[in-house]
Amino acid sequence: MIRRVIVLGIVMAALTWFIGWWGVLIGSIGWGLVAETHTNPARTAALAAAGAWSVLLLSTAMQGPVWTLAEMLSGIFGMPAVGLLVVTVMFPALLALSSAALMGELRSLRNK
Amino acid sequence: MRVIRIAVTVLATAALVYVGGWPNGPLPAPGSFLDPVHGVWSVATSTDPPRDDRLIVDGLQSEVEIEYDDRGVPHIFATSTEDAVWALGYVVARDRLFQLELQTRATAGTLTELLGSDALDADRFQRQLGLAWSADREWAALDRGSPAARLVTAYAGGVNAWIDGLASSQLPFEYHLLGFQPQRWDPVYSFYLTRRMGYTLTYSTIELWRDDVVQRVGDGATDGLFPVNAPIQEPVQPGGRENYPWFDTSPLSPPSLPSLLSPMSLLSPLSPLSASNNWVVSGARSSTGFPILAGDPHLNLSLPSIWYEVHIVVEGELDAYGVTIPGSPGLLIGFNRDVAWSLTNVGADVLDYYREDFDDLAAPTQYRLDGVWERLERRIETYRDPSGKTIAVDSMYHTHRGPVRVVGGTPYSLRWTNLDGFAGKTSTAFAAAARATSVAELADAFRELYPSAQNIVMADRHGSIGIGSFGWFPLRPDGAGVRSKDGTTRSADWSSRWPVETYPGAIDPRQGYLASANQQPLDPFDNAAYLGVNWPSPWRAMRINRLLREDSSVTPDDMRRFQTDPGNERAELFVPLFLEAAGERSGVAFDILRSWNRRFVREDTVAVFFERVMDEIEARVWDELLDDPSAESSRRVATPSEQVLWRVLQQADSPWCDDRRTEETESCATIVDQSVERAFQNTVERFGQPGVAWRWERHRRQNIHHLLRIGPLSRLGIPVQGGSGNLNPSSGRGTHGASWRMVVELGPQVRAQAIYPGGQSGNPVSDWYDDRIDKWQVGELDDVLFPESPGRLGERMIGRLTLLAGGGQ
Repeated sequence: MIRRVIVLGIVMAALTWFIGWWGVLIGSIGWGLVAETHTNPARTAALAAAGAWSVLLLSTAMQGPVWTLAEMLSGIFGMPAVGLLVVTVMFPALLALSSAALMGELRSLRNK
Repeated sequence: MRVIRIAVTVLATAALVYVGGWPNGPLPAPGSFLDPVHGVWSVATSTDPPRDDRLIVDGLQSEVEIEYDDRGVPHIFATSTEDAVWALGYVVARDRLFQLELQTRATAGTLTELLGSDALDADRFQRQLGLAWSADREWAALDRGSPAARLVTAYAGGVNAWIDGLASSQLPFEYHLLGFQPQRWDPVYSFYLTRRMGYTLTYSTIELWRDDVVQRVGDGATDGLFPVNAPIQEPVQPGGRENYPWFDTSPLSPPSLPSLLSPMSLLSPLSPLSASNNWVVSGARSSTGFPILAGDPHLNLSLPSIWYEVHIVVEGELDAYGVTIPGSPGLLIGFNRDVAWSLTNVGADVLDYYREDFDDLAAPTQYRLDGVWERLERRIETYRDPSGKTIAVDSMYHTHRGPVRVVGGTPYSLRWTNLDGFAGKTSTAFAAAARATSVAELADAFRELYPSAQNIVMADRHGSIGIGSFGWFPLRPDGAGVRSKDGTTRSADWSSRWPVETYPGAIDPRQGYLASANQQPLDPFDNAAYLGVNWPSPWRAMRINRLLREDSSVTPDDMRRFQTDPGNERAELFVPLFLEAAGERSGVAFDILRSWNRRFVREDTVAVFFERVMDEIEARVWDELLDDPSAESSRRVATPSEQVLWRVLQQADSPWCDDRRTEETESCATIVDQSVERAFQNTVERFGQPGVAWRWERHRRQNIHHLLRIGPLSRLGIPVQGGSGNLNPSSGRGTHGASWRMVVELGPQVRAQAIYPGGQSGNPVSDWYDDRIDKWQVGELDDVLFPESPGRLGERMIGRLTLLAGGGQ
């Protein structure tokens, strides 16, 4: 399970790097199509996406004042800085979860 | 069951894709916005100047070296002027790209494409003025080989090179927020900037709202309230009277009965907040024996600042330091190894309104001129929203004089120097100034300065000092521009300009110092020709002249301290008047004024009360100017300057002092008495008992807004020393103030100190975004680094960028 999450996370990070946030959607759709149903591909995709964006965010934070930026954005959007960081990680997780689950459902429908 | 699960996952995925991919109202699309690589978070990775980068770029003739010092200032070393200007465009775009785009769109009237229909009114107004329209025409007619065209083309090359190579992490914060990509920079946008500054500094509507005043108080009284000649004279050009300041204490014409004509629609006069100071002392009056020059332009304060600091070196040709405005292909204020200069606004009248006669007001095609119908030029203006959808279409009209505005049902055409084809000359004038080696050469350069007339103070290291009011001052057939003119005849058109040799100015005056602070440049005693009207009260001019008169051995540090001097000539004149009116009368309110030292320091506890007294007196004296005197709360159609108020109060029984809303006939002493008492009650009610609660710093603060007025990106509520009428003015909403402070000593080695409220970077999380505000707030300056060649910044160099010519154009 952990290995799958890590591998998929690397793929999603790479896709995000090259094509932006759509990479999460493409990566999780792909994962939903190829992953074994019993391995719970949706959960794996969600964890991988959250992990990928967390690592990318961490990498950005190592290059500049992300927390200062989060505080500034929190003032603009009227939500806590931590909340913005959580949303940044939750958004790809939810997107990956739903799209991988959808693909899993469609695949099992075809197999039936 | 499976169908339900499929339906739920389809809906959830679709919803997330929709939410992530499309903006929601003013909120950006979260998917690309939150993307940690390309989204808003990546802004955090582009906060510093380049460390040691080498880039191959197209458009340069040869290599350019740019070194950044620890204040974030780029020092550009190039081998040709065009390469240097190209590099200037590049570094400005690197630090201020969004500012470049926003100010261009504000001038072009295309803000709706960025901000939506909320910006429609602002866009309509700008397009009506025809700023971009006239700049486009100038650019279209300009020889591409001319010096001006080459400058702005080189600048555009640098800006576009930055835009073309832009990584998503280098996209400014505001673009992420608005979900936009930058537009490419057209050379004509530099001309837009000149028009924009011309608008800020010279746009006026006095001819329009003056009619409103005339209908309330009569023509003669209006001339007195908004005079052509300031009643307190402290001219820019040292005048011929024995003593200055000189005061005109003669009675003002009384108000006549209100006209039965219904007043035209209200046109609020612009708040007269545009203000600046500059001054210079000769070596004979400086402690070091060398001329010292101070520059202190006041403008709307913003983050990032309107100014960008830069040092430009072209071997054997140019070595100048100072500030540019993003979009301008050169320095506007600064110094080189030989000379220094700084600007204040002249406030000359360079705009006239002509009442036109149209064939059809609703759908005009012609206007009457000398008895013949002339064809109106028509342009169609289309406004679009961020999605490209058309949200409005307007028809704009032009006579041979300029664009038409319809006010109160009357069409007026504008004749305005700012719409003439002078932006190119302005660029070359400043380029020539940066190369000047003497005051005489500076003056020659600025004779080509046209649209926004400026008082320019100058000094050189040979010991010469000078000042001049430069611009294009129109000559009118009737000699004055106070009233709107009859547009049906060409005989009302401007005939030509003032002869240059009659321009206000002085070089090496006997007094050994020169100063300007937006006051009337020429004492009418010396030259009564019409230059403008309704001059700002000369409080700052009086103050700096007093300081310079009293100090015959000025140090550079004195010059710095003068910039935030707490003394206030306005209070020095008015408070004794109040006390004289009070006579022996005692009472807390008058006692407070009696014991006041009239210095606007942050700890002061009387200034807040004094300002209320001034408001109360104005409300009582100028009751004739209320839009609706019978209404409980009504605003004034216009407010005369405080120097006119002072003149009114000189006459104990001035009819202006009578408050017509009461049955009694008030004298000026009564009005002062009532105002002081009422102001005291008012101040107590609002702030509590006198003391700490009245501290000036609690009530008067500077507010430096972000360009989009985004709160967390702004720096608000900054307490400063100074108030209305101070050399460091702080009034109104606190959004206007000292935008650049500079002191230059022109000895064998030029020494300079400077600061502006902000920082070099437009990135709000950069250390160079607002790093200078703390020092600026307390009136301190930074030592400026002025290396002659690359590699001389030593430990203070924090980054280097080498631009290598790639061969392409």
